[in-house]
Amino acid sequence: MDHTCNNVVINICPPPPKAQSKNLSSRHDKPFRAMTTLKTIYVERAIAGIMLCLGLIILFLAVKRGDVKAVEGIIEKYIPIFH
Amino acid sequence: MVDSEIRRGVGVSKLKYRPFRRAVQLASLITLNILILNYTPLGLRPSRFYLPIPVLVGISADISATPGLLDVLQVTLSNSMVPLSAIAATLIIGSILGRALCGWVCPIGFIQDLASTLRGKAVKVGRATDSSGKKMKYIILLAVMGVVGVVGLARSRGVGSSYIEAMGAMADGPFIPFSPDNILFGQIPRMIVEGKIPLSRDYIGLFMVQGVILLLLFWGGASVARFWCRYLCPLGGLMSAFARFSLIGLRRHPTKCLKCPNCERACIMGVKILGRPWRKLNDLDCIMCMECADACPQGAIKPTL
Repeated sequence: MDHTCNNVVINICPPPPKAQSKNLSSRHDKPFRAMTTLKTIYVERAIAGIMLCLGLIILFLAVKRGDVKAVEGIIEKYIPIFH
Repeated sequence: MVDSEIRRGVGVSKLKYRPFRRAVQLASLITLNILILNYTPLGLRPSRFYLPIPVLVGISADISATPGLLDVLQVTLSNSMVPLSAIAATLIIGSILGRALCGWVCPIGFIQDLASTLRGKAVKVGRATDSSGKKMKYIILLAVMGVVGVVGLARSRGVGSSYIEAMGAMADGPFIPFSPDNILFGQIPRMIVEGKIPLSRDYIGLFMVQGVILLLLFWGGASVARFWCRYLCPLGGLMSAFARFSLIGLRRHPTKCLKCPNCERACIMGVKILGRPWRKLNDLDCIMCMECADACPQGAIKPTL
């Protein structure tokens, strides 16, 4: 972005140095991709949060239903089968 | 600082994760098989607890402190029961840690790590072979879940009892006799205690298949890092579905990273780290072993939330 002031061109946004642009050479690291990547991360976090909440609800139901005891019973019954 | 010094990471001090991970793995191996104390004259009598955790712990192993999640899923689903506690454990641990327990807790993973450390030199697997081989674990998982689903449905409807009877123990857990944890911590200690090898006509076939599985575990694990976890573990396949969205991941610092391939070479699961987003890396196969972080000369890779 260039601004002209008294016929002098002032470059207020110089291009990044060569070494830095080399660091940003990956497909995912390019600036125009950065926002998409960030949105993807937020979506992933949201999905992880939903899964965590779902897991906690199911755990609550499992404890309430006595699922752990039922699993214990069925496992104790079936362990000798695999011996 | 000259370029070669930067590449070697001269002047960069960082924490090494590997010794810490080995300590956690050893502690987990002991804790998950703590019931071995019942067979010693120490007088300690720990009891089994029933918290299905997503690592390979044998349900048929008398020394295991808790049944593994995959074994619990098989036994409960094949008995027409919805394993709420196992589903809850999968969702909670998967959404927070992804496959991190494979890298830090699983005893079978620890044994493979030791095997590859003893061998020293790993065989390089081609990208196409690696990519198609990784699909094997999903196929095994689908086959196992398909069998237990059909058996569970048949039991709930009261049909196919002759088929279920013919399947024997395989009906209650088709993967349990072939799972290396059940062979290593269940069958082998039992054979040692009882002093007999099951060479009867009924068991010789199964016994030979189990031998091949152990060979794959040790020889494969010594040749290709985490051979079992990469290609064959159905539990790894199940947890990798959650690893894609897990809260914990890896961050590659964009300016510190020199794009040298050290991290990709060090990765024991063959993840292409440099081709992934730097902000947060959540790969299906990443087990958060942090070998990449240890190998990075710049300390550019760190765990992130």
